[in-house]
Amino acid sequence: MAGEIRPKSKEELEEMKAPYEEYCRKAFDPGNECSKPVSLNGIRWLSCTMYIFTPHSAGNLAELGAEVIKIEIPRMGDAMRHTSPFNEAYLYPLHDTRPMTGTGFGFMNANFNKYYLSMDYHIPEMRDVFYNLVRQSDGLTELYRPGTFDRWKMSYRTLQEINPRFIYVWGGGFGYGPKVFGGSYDILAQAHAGFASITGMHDFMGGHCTKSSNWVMDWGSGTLIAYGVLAALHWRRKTGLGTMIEFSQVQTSTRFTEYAVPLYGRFGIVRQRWGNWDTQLCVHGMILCGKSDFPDAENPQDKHDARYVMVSAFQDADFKELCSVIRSKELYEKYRVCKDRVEAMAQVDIYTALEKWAADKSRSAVAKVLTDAGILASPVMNDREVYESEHYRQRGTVRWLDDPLFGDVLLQAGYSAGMLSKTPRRVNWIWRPVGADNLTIYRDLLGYPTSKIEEWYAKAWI
Amino acid sequence: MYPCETDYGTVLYATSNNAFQVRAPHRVKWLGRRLGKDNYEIYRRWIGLSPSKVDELKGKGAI
Repeated sequence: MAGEIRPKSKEELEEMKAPYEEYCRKAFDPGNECSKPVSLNGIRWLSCTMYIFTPHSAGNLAELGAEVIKIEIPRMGDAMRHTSPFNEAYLYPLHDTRPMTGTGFGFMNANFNKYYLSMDYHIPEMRDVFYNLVRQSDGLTELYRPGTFDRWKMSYRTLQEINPRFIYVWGGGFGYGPKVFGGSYDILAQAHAGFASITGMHDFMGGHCTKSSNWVMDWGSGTLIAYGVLAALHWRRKTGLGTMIEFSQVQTSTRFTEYAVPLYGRFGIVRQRWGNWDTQLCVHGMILCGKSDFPDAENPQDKHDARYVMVSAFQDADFKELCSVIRSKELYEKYRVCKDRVEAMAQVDIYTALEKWAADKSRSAVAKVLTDAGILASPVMNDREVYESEHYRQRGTVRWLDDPLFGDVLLQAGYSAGMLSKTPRRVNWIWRPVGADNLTIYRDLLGYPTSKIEEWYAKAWI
Repeated sequence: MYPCETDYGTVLYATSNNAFQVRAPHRVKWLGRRLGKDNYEIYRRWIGLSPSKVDELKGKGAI
């Protein structure tokens, strides 16, 4: 038959005969990532970064196998090391002179697999050492105020003379323009460029504009830089030329406002926030049930929060089924067509009816009844439940890492960003103390004598 | 910014962060096109089908 693909060996025949799920399990084989090659093998990247946004951009490359050298302030390190959720989770030591200071869990996820170099690169004495690193590297990410690296003779216009293949990334708040001197934080990006204004409950629901609890603009921007870097690497393969990326973080927030900009441009309508419901689909939201799944739990996240269910039944047939489950024929008669349901007041009506129906039921009961009826529904799970989820366990999304320095650490990042069958992302170590790889880099890579390195160390230049 | 080529007239959009790249900036050329607009180009140039074959498939509703 035309178009048929024939197996070339017995093994290939077996593979083709296997059910698709089995094929995927074998192809991805969670837990054995380290037996496979890495895709960015041979790429060396420098990272003069801190906090989450720019470290994450380099961290993405490190998870894909690039050799990322994180250059930190001597004896102090990345400011993010000194942050921890509510000041309680640290791993020790920070540096060999500071055993009683630790690195906080705020540092987690953006810094896997990196090599830790310390260098005070802003002093003229270390400039040549820095240039030597540039000569042997493929690129750099930095986050200083615009013009700072230029003042230190370390901006793209200097470095491209040293290494024309060099890919230079500046990542920061605004980039050139009226706000060029503003710094950046995730919360600034969320606030400044539209994202927070469309997040959270609407005024009439008693809501306010809302900051996403996680640093979504940092994680999102870091990932966007990583793909910019991959595009630049591809371009360099064709032309032999590096490039400079000037990455303004606040723009990520604008980019993440979906249809808001075109909507305003064409119709002059400013997008409003719509809480746990949806402006384009209905039913497509989260509802509150009357009973907790864990009424006796001590943890309030279990005791009180285990009451939310996400429901999606926006197609007419699904909505009909949903209405028959909640035994409300009139609701169906009133809002038969998707277009009618999406109207704001219709949504108020519909979700009120749903929550009224769920008022005497537990979260899992609601999710089960709806799922059994063929409607997409899922409890809103907290992190403990995610950890216990068999689905994530089998796929290796959440897993324990035996870190070479810090022992057992439970991780999700690295394995939750899409799986590559031949060259999977991986986490080899979560991080190392400040300057842990100084000898490896200064002596073995750059060839400086140990006496020199000791001298720099004594002067706190490294 | 406004994209230069679009089926829908002038549309306001937010540019990519990576548009600020010196040598090969990321860009938006068009914001969606009508369904199947590029059928002839793709099927003829990349698959090598003749225009009459494309018409035939179109007639059957296969493309």
